[in-house]
Amino acid sequence: MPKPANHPKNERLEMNDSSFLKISDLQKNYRVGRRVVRALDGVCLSVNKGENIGIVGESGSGKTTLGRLVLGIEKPSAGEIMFDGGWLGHRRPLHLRRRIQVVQQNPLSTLNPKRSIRQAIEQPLRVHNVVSRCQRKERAAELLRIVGLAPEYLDRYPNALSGGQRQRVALARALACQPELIVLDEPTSALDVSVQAHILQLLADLQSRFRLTYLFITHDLGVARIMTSRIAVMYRGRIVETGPTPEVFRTPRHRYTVMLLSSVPVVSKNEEELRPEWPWRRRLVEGELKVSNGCSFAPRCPNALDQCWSTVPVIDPMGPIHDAACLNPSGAIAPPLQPKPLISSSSQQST
Amino acid sequence: MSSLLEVSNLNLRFQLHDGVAHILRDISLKIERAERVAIVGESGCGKSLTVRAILGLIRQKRARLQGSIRLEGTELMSLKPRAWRAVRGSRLSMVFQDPMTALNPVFTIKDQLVEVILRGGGAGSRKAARALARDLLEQVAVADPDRVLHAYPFQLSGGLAQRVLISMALANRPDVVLADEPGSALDVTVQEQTLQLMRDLTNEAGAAVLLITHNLGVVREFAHRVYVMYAGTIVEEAAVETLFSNPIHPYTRALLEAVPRLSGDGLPRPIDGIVPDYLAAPAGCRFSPRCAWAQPDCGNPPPTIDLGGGQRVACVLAEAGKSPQERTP
Repeated sequence: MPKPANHPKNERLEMNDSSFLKISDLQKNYRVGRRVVRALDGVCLSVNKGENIGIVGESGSGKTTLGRLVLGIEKPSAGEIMFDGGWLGHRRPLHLRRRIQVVQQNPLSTLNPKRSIRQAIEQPLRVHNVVSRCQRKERAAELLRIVGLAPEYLDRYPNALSGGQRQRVALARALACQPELIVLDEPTSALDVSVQAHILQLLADLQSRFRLTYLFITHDLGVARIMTSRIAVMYRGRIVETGPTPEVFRTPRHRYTVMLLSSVPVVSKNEEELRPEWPWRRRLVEGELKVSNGCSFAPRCPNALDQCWSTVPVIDPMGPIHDAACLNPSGAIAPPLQPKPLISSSSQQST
Repeated sequence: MSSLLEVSNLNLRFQLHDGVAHILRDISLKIERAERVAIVGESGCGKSLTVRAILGLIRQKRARLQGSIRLEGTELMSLKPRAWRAVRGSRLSMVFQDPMTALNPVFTIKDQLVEVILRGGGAGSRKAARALARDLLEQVAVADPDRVLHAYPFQLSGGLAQRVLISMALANRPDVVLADEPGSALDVTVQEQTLQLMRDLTNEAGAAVLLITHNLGVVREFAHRVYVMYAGTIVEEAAVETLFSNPIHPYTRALLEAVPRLSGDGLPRPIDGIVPDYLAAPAGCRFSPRCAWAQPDCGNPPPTIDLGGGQRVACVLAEAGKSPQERTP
């Protein structure tokens, strides 16, 4: 049964009740020794049907954890996920599991080396009883054709395939049970650019052909730019900025998004013009980071204000559907106050 | 005048069960003093093997390495293993891709740095070496060198470990630093900082860098000059500005078109076909089976055409002084 949603601080994200996937105030804590690591800290996100939403951020930002919670591989510590109008718990009936599938980064480790491609693809067909037993073989061949592989590959094993071919098989396996939502967790990060381009084209084709919804997790901003229509930038377990991809890339508001964009190595002049300036510093600051009780990016942020260290910023509207959780956003009308030095020898906590 | 490092007609063959794999074919490259040079290519193109060959690390029984590698005019190929060792680590040094696997997990950073310094003979005593180790860490902008010195690799973040590796590579004031995708195992923000640091430090030390990478963006930001490798051959060589503004070889062009653009100009264009099997590599241009402009001449080894301005292209199309674009049917 759907639970009533009641999260006052994120009303904006909750307005759209027709959304296909709705994540509200999702939290995930991991216990590491005696410490508790907050992998996800109040993530809210709605995704419409047929949308391709990008989740970007650096390693440890929680993007993979988010995908795992959506897939039901792990149980959230708090918060809820709604899918197609129904509540999505941790233990899911078969018909719900069928509708949400995954493609992971390294196809060599996600395909069982002892199983032929046929076995890999037929298993979901069998488990979810998608087609009758006698049609399975035919369907497996058809799935391979859909992802651009000849049926001869059915009786090969993953080690006989190239990286790109393996990723095609992983896609065929995900498509086998006719999913509606696919979590793509760095689907092309292990591939060469020339092969990556093939897989990206295939992903785009499949999406329009089968009306798929993608949750596209990537650390590659170039890939996110061309593949997604909307983007969510994550930092330390929180979504710090969301908006239409072109807009976020053109006018990033959160300082972390600015930093991320400015660090992408690009191959042309016109891309270079799109990259914002960032005051790179030679020193690696992590060893001397102060703990911030407010914005978790404050220790790395050259524009942090006093209140950034004490107030957790909530996600605020920056445009029609563009939100950012930043107290001193980039491109703000009012000029920022005196920037605070990043490395402070003595404590400069707000007075 | 001889270059600082000059590799000419390097060929590498491996004797395998089912034949001879001709991996590197006639690799020639040059690095001048304090120059930053990149080799760019996809996985399996032989860029790492080229660097290993330069470091004298290809010593398998089944490998046959031919050609010449000269450091300031001295032929390295004829060196005995002991003499090689004196060159490696002191005149030529290496920064590996994954800092976590390149450091020994059971020794502290201090142990590992001091060993490198003592081996290179840069410090007389162990005590002096220890002081130097600390200086080196300060040089790579590590904020708290004392903590890092006494740490084991697992206690460091990827970015810090990468900096330790850079400090090791620079410890004995090498002439050439060979770098295998430094920072590509790290986040983009850390990678950017790593590359900036490498650029600054090698500049200050007057060391040349040979960077190998698959990332064209990194090349553009880091290097002065670039070699594009495909299937064990160098297909194009140019100054970085030239390569990105006027790429000539069909492979270079295809590679550039396959990169997803930050400007969001449509989907990247893939390269059809697959990399040839080294056991049966085409006798002529190794890219020709995938090349849209291939012609009968491509069955012969392509001539290297000097287009001036340091741009050299191994393609018959360049001979006619035309880029493939102009020849598009």
